[in-house]
Amino acid sequence: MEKVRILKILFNILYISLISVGVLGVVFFIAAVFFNEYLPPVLQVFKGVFNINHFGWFVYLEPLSKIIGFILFIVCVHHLKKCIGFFENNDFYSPDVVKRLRSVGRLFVIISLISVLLKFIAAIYLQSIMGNMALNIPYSFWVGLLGIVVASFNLTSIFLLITGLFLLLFSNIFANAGYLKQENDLTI
Amino acid sequence: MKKLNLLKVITDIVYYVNIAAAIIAPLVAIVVLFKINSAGFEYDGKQYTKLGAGLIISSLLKFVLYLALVYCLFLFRKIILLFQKLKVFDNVVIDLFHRIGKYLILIGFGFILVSCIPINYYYTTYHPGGFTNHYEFEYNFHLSIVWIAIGLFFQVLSEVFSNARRLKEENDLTI
Repeated sequence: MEKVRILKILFNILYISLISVGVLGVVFFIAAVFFNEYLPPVLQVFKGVFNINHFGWFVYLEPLSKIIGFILFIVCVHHLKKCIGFFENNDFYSPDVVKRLRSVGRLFVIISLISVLLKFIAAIYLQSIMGNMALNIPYSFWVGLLGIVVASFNLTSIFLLITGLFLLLFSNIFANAGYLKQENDLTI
Repeated sequence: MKKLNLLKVITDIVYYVNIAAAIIAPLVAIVVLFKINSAGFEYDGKQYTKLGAGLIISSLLKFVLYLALVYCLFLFRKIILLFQKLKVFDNVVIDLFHRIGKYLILIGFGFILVSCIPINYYYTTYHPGGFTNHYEFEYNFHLSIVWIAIGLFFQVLSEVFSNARRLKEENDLTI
């Protein structure tokens, strides 16, 4: 039970930190775009980053994938926090736990797939820009493809995919264990 | 079963890629160290000339922790293999979950301790008027709780599984 309590504390710290970072990010975005002149000169340069006319919207796909992933990750941590609440009450096989674990598993898989897909599109776009710029450099198709694949897949998205599939598997095992418990409780 | 097979394939790919990286990384490190000790290693406009003890010790410890993570991945593959054999509530699975959890907690604390070690190195930058020697001393402490949280999660899972195993045994014995 001690472990569950420590885990709960860690998840609470993680949840609060994520929410704080998210809120700070939104506040900074609003300040940089709409109230740029009131910011200190060091921070005023960030407005250029949010100016879509500089590079075209494709360049913003990777940050967009990170923002979507970040929001969905907060939702996942919220669900896991609730699951730990059930674990604390020794209610391991509640249908609510199964439902939440399944949702977290699906969300993790979605986050990793969205991240890979958007990074893939952004990498193709960036490589086309670089291809136009480097006119005199001989350009191999396979080297380009390898570059796009390497840029699309990172360790975090693979780790999230494994965790997602693992949690989906666990939701099934928990459902099975819940069924066993129900049978056990009903046996006289 | 489809999810399990997919999980097995992805875990296998990640495991073998990491094994390859664990073999290649020390070789690359030896080459870089050799270059630094002879003519200096040039990267990003800087000519690295000497590495401090802090940087070498922290890199070695990080590599050991990385190997420990690969070992956890190896144990995780074992669990998936047992799941494929439909041995879900087996004693071995419970023991493996417990071990992975224990190792991940230790790795988490290990990463925090390693981040306490200050890193130092020497490098030279060249400019039209000549060159300048630099000495960098960095202190990169970070309190990363992710591995500890995952380790605790695995330990809780081992408890949940041992509970489920007891239920299954009771259920199997009931006529």
